[in-house]
Amino acid sequence: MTDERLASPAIHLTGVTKTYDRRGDDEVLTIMEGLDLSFHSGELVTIVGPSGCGKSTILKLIGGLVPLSGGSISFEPSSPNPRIGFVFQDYANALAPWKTVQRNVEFGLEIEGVASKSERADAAARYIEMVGLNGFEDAYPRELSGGMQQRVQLARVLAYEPDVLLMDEPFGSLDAQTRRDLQQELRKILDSLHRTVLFVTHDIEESLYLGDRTVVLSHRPARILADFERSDQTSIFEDFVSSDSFRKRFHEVWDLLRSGPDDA
Amino acid sequence: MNGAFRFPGLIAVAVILTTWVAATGSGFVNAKFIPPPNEVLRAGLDDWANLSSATIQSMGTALVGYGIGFVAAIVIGMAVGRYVAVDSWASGPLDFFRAIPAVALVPMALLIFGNSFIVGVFSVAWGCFFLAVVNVVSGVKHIPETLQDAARSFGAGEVKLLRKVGIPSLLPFFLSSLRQNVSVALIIIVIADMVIGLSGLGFYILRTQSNALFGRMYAAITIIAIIGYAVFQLLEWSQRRLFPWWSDSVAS
Repeated sequence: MTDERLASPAIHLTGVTKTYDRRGDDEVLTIMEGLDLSFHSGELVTIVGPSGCGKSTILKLIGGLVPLSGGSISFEPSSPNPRIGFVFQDYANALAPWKTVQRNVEFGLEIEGVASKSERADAAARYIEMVGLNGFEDAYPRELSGGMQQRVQLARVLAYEPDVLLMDEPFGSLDAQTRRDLQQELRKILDSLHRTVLFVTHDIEESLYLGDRTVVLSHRPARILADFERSDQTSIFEDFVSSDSFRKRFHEVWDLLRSGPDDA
Repeated sequence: MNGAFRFPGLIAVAVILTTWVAATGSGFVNAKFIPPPNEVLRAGLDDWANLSSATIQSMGTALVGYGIGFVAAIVIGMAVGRYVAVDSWASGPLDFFRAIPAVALVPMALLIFGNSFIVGVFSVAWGCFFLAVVNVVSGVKHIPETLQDAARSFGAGEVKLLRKVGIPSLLPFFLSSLRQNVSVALIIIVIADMVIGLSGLGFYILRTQSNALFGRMYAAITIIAIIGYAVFQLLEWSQRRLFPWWSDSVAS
């Protein structure tokens, strides 16, 4: 069971540098340079910043999907190797179109190849239920709405039971209402899991509502403009966004992001 | 629902056959050069021994060439689609040789191989390969990057990635190109038969034409049409059956 497992690891980025060689010319694109940032065990951190600031790159570096150009990333404790679950923004291309919802949710465990067929099916059923997709087990992704496809992706990553959850603008392509519903459900689910979660977004409201802590990044090369603790403990969205502390924060972040590129 | 209108294709075939019968019966066309369907059927049955052996010969050769061309296209296409280094070396020669129509190579193949079976296989394989390899390469490039990232984040290495993401994504592309290759294989084998001039349906058509056995000629043409149609339908049916999630729009 999830609750009996070891605590989720803390993550330390030390002097992290990431550059890309631009194809065709000699220019080197510096996404971040010497970035120091730590995430505590079991913490839900939202990372907010302008498009292209390198916030998604932080997740890819931590997830090992792209190599570091410099610096280091460490987990604490460092062994066993943490299981990392990734949720992508592009849900349509993140799911296997040839697999039903049930099989897609089993995909992480199937790749891992440890759990038996029936264990996989049980885990999938549990998380399909948790994200409210029961009744759609045999549907194919293309038969589902965007919000439902993103629920499938969420169930898939939860069924894998990751120690660290990396979410890359997961609700960025959804309509406002669906996004709102999923934000509230996600908050509820994550509250019960106690995992280290990094959630990247460019939506200030979302970042403040979801995060135990919010890190504000500048335009690239990414620097930390602000690092807040959650301002208000209520998880009811309407109450949260109508609180004074929220509005004060919202303006603060808004000003930071607006002035960001000019003083860079 | 009206049963007949669910199959407008069948009605169209019936209309064509009726027009054929009417045109030949009324003397509107010369029945000597275009005999009515019953004549064609009778002529085909009369010469069934020769006609069937020519059919088996041509189709057997075409099938072997089709298979070889296709397997080669999968192997090379996947390597080209996946590895930039292979792509940069292979794409030039592939584009150049693709421009050569397979039928233009039949006389050369005859010089080199001498054996009519090998010449047929070579020509069909050549044509099928170059059509399919383009499909396979584009299929590999269509495998969603995000899904590959997802599989990697769950710990998939290169082999698992191929097995769990690559092959399943590509299967419908394979079937699509198998379908497209049916007509190519038929065209090439018929022309190869004609050029080699020894046996097979293409040769049968030439010989019956020059001997004024027009009924037999049409019988051979009809057999080719029926085989092509049947194989095409079978592949289309399998695609719908095996890959219900697939839509052709993904492939184009």
